[in-house]
Amino acid sequence: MLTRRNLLRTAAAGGLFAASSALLPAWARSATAGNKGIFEVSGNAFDLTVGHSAVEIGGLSGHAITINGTLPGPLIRFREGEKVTLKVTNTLDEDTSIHWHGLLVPFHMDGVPGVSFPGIKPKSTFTYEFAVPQSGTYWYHSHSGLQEQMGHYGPLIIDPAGTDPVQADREYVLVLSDWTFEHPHKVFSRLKKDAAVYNFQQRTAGDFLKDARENGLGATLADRASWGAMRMSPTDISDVTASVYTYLINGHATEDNWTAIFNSGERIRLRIINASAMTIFNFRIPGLPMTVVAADGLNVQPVETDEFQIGVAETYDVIVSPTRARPFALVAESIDRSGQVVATLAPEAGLVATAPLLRERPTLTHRDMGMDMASMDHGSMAGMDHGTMPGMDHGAMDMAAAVPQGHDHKMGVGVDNVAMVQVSRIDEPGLGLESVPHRALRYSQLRSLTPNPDTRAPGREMEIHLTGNMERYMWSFDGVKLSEVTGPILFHEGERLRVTLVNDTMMTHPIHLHGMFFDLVVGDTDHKPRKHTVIVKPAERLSFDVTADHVGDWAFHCHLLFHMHAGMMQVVSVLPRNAATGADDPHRDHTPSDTPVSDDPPPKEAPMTGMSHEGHR
Amino acid sequence: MKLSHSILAAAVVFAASPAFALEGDSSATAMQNSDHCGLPMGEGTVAALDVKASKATIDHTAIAALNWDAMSMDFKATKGVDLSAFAAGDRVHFLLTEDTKSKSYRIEAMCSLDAPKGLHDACMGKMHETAMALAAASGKSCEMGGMDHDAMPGMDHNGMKGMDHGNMDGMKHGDMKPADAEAMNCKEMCAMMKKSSDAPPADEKPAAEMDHSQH
Repeated sequence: MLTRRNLLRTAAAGGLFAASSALLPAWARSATAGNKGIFEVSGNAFDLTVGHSAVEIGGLSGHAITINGTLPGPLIRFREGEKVTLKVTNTLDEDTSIHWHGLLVPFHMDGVPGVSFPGIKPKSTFTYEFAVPQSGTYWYHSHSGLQEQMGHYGPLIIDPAGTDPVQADREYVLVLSDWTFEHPHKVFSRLKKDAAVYNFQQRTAGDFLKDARENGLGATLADRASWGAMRMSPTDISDVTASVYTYLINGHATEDNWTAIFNSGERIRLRIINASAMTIFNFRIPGLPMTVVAADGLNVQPVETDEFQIGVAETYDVIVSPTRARPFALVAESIDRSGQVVATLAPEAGLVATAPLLRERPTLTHRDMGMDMASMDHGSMAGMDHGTMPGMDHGAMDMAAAVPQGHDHKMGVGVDNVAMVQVSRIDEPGLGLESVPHRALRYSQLRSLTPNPDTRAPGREMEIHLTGNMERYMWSFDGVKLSEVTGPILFHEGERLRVTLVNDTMMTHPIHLHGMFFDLVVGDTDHKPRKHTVIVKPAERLSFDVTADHVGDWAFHCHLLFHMHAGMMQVVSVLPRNAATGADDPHRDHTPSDTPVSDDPPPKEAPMTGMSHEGHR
Repeated sequence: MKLSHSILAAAVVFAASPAFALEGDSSATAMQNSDHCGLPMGEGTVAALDVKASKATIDHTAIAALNWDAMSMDFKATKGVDLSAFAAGDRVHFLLTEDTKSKSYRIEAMCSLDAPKGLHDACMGKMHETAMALAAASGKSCEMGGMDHDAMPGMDHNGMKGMDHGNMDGMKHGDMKPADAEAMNCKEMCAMMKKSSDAPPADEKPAAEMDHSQH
């Protein structure tokens, strides 16, 4: 209904928007600000400046760390195989860095301070130079501190050297992210003190009155009651929820209504990048199927779906072909369903797609807790109240039954749970998507468009557990956080190995390996999907095969920023073929029934201080 | 070019797969009268939507199961229905249940006949799953074949993940003549669903044709 209040609000928002649009790159401006497509900056030389900027999001002012003054940073576009030079100037008072996510660069160009280069000091310039043998949709972001949370990220597209096998009439980049008006260090320290601090759908008396005015008192009361009733611990799903975050598409909140234009019958390519710090999204366009044509930059055999879960740092390219000239909603909903961001795909500017209602929150099941339904007494579980789960003592679950699992990682304060029964969940669409009234993408559906370059059987296997203590906000691999780790994970140049990840936590973790693509084991096929980041579901056991063909030190971590910050990160060292062997590798014989980690050799050197391997390129 | 060869090869494989041999969208009538575990089904055209209020106004044809004549009606939709996926003018199928409190019927599931085929078929499959779940919850038998729902009072829906509706692409309503569809009961339907869930996912082929080779 068009009331005076609404009119005024719209006018105010429009005014703010006009003021802020100058800060946005042309391709990220909404249609009302004149954007009709992507403004492409292509070339071989790029000047990037990292600095502080004021931003306007959803009508509110905030402070961001930006690249060239925009949030997200500019779309960097170049061609496969061409040498590019990127001069990055740091105008901040602290170190910064840019990591080219998913790009196969030499390791000293990878941009991870302490692992592959020293970082970019304040008021200095670092020049990245590389040529990469790949094309597709990628992104870049800071690997320093929590800058990524403050806006230090942007999209990157590499056009193929030859003809693109994916043809479209037009394309749009959709950078999904989470924004907070709070300083991320404050958010993090609150999580450390009380992991449940953002659990509650904290809404103020002001919100209540506002909602009551708009929706009526009864509806608002009912709404509050239902949220209260549904409130299990979102810690189990997302640590940081919409109570803190404003979710963004191309730097725009829902109110900003970023709009992509199409003509009926066109093939539109959407390049979707999850550049969030902490938010796994469910992406869908209600009423419009999507054909997935690329995952993590690399082409996959086309597969049609209606929704997919996109982990932090993953990218998907989809083709949509709307045949009806009506606005469609581009919806990115946080995995815990505490919030969403909606943009519009419309036949003309000025339309606003109808946003779907937030769906019911997903609840964790016993499967997510690593407890096998089949082996348990169903009767006794009927009375189990999920609402009481936040207070549940996970320590009590580390019962004798955990032993047969054969985990060999460190137990103790940093590990509060061990999945007793880990299962392959590669054929599941992800938390909350099992019961949606349409198709949802599963990793098991993905097949590389081209045959895998290396089809050797793995010569070696290693198992890495994802571990944590949620109450204390400790996150780690194999129970050892980065600051206490004794040495890098060793790969040997040229070897083919299988890495199995076991998620001993009840959270979904997007795990990222720098420097190489890995082939997700989805069955016996030589067209395994190749990825740089993979979602590992709660209590899931998932494997990938990887060829260690890029010598150097590479970061390996959970891409939930605060998890990485808390220690869920290690270094993978790919040792050159001729390097002296005999390095102590705590993961070398990492198989069930192994000796405890504490029996492993003492650290031979600190992992984070520029490990130098002779003979690396 | 090597690349285009492999794509072409993939396209050939798609074309040869059973899913591709099926065509036509005669599902409109096929499912119309099929018995969704005894729950009433309606068909009509969306006249208006109020997504925020979960309300849809539908000009529906006669619904024999309820002795309703054709008319325009406002329906509330349950939370599982994503009304934002629809637009005024969409021809739809919808599954109704009676809300005992308000003595009114509400929409439990709805599918657009104007949606692309893949989406429509997936939606109809999910609608049937909803019908089965509702029947099971109310203690009505839905002739579920070998599946014994009585033995699963505290049924964790998670356990149903093994049932892969994504795989139902192979099940095309278009396949069925209306008469077949009418004759088809839940038992057959469930058997089909069970069968399709047993199929290895690798067999699943994308439904969309993307002939890159011609570009």
